[in-house]
Amino acid sequence: MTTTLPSAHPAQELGELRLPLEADDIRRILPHRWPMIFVDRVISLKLPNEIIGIKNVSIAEPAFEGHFPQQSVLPGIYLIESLAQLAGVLVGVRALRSDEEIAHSGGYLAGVKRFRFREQVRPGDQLRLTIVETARLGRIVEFRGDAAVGGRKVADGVLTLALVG
Amino acid sequence: MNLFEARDAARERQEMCLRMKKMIVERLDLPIEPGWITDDQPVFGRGLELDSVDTLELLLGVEAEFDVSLTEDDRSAFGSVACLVEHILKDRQDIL
Repeated sequence: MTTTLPSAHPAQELGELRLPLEADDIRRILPHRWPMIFVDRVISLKLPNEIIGIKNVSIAEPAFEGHFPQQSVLPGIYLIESLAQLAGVLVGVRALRSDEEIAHSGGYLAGVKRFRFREQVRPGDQLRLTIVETARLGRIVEFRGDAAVGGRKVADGVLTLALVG
Repeated sequence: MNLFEARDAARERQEMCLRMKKMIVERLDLPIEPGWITDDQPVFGRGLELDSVDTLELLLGVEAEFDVSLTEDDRSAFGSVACLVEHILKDRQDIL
């Protein structure tokens, strides 16, 4: 699906973007920066409630220096944060398109439940991240997320964002 | 409503309150017994001290347990267990 993002917010200067959203586009939506930005590309967007993104896992990730010195395994919290950031992109895109009643400028991770980490993620893996919005009450929004490597699910669970702005 | 109908309605309300309390304790993993919650105890603030994330969890619990949808406009229903049960009963009456 190709989605065009109108320049609804001049401050964002997003102009007309088409899928995939590249890393530079994502940096205009998310406030995160290295070493804490975990979405490399958005490859699918089914508005209003589904988004699929990519994160490439590199040995250059600072976390691998300590997790672990003899065996590089991506920390589970990185998978949660990657999915939370992708949910943030979904919220950001909707705000830019003025699909939201209130243009939320972002959100904070407010809840995590039923997360399972099924396989280890290592340098060289490409994570396919999927986020689907499942429930909402005001500024509190719940998403179901999963991460897969090569078609195999490596993690899944439910996370909640508290929107701000 | 005659006396028997009133008694049955009160019993149904009481059973729903108990189901609601069990659902709240289980769904929110509260370290209390369902029976410790009174029907009129405030759910938020100084009542059960639930926060806005818990509210969404509670909303999903009510949908799953009682098959009733709640929205942002129904916030007053979250005042207490009795308010939630009242809202569900009213919703069912509206359908009938």
